[in-house]
Amino acid sequence: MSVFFLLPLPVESLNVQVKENKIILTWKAPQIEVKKYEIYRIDENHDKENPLLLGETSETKFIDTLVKPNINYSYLVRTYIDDTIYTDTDWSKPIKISIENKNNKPWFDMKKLPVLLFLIIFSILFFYYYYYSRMGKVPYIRKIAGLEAIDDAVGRATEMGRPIIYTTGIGALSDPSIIAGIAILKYVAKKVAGYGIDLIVPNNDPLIMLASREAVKEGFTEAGRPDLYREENIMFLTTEQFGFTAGFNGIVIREKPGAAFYQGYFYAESLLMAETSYNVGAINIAGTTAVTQLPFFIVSCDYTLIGEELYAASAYLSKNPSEIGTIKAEDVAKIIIIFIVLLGSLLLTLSEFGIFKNIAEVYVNMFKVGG
Amino acid sequence: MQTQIPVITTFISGILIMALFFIPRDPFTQIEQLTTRWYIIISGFALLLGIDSLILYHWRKIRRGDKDRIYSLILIISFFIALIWGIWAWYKYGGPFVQNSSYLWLFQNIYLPLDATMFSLLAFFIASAAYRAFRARNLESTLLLISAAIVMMGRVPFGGVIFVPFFFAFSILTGVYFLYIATRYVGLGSILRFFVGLLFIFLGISLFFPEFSKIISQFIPSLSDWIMQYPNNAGQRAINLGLILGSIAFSLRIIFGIERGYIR
Repeated sequence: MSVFFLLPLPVESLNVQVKENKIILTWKAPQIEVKKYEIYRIDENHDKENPLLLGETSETKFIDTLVKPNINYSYLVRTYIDDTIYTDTDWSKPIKISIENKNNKPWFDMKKLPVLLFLIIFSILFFYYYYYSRMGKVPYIRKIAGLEAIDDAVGRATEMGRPIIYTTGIGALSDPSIIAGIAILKYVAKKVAGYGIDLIVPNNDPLIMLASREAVKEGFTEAGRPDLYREENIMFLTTEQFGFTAGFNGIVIREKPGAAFYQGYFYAESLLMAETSYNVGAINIAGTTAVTQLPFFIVSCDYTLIGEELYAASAYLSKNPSEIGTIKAEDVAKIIIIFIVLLGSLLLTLSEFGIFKNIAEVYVNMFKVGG
Repeated sequence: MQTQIPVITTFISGILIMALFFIPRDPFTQIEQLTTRWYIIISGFALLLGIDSLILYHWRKIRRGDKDRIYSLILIISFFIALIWGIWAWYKYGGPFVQNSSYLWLFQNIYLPLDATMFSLLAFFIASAAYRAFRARNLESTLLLISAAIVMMGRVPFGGVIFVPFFFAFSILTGVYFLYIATRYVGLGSILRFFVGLLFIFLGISLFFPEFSKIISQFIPSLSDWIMQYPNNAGQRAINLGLILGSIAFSLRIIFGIERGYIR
């Protein structure tokens, strides 16, 4: 039996383009179910007899980032409908990237002008409310249940004679949510020192571990109990996501903490960790800027700081009027953005009926970033 | 001085990194690459401190004779096996992850299955968390339960097929419930509940007509998509908007030394 009829047609319109220092390949999928595409390249070290396999994809796009300037590259896409049945495109015309002279670029990226304008407006609001609060006119900030519950959680753990576990999740020290998490850690450490219980802080990044040690040490010192600070309780586990999760859960199961704090950035491990501490009877207080993990924390934790509440937490806990004032600037900026969105929606709706069409177009383009 | 130097350093680096975002030419692009390299180098050295912390933590547990010291012992042994094996593979094959390297075998046959096992536990944890979250205790959790059920059925391949018997059971039970509570009321309240009950039972029975059940089974995936595209997307964007403003305000507080919680 011939396999001729099973062969897929080669992919159509293989398009090879240079964009900055990458080569982007796009093509149209054939009218048949495709298992995968393999992308081959020929260059100075590889010829048609021995091409370089760059990788495989199930999408109709591939970006070659492993390219050097002034070298000719040619590409071929191999379409598989089965593990053994495939067809090839022709080799694309040779293409090369030229050395980019960065000094020909302008001093300001005009595509980012709306971002700069927004930053300036926001900074004006920020400093206005900062000085406004310093003059003694502190704006009202609603109570944040998750932060109010910190004292209760620490007290409950003390009554139960159990330690407290705290994690900033998985991320780098350059992430603002991790820095916010460390600021809350210092407050928790201060409270813990007052009660004389253990505070365990497992970390997945050595730099965060060092910052956490400093924060906890300061917290204990400020509470007047530097003698209770135990450096070995703020330890590094691993940089691997699920290795860290396993290590953290192991500590939770063995130590049975009375309260567990999740303040920082989290990925798929969020639910694994929060459910484990729930199962040992700990009060769970979470706060993250990872929108995809918020639902998991909401269902498995007693209190959750949603998004921006985490950033506001350190200002809220410090009770410093000038810090609290800056939170007000966020609310005013939100009102401005809501107004912009509503006006845009109205203009675009009217433009559908042929009214204010040009104004709507100009309005939309005004807020486009990156062209 | 102890606080002034970090505040000045933070201010200069913060403003510089902000400028790098807007200026696409040298020497700013070079500075960006340079600072990234610095971060990598510092992280590399900090990893040694991390390893030191890990080994000492478990070594202390073994020395103290803690109840769970066996796990600490396993960790230390595994750590040194992986370390020595990796160095040996690097020496013999030119890298631990090159093809045919024995270390790659260790990675693929021990590390990856362990990693996948941990991840797969998520399914069970989702089930237990969902059980608690989806109990219809009040209006909000009932709405969550209904929308989650619709999204789940709309996303699975045979969701449309399941939905017909599910919708049948739901309509009949709701109808019977309304007919039952109609008996507890008098006057207009009773008549209204009676007709609502009849309407639900009629909806349930109408599923026996193939045309109607076909419409219902096709309706569920599009309703699921609608929930994800509009209410869910709107909620997520609102949170993201707050997040962005929050992160800018937080960064400004740090850059200008208003918030010094991390150095105080």
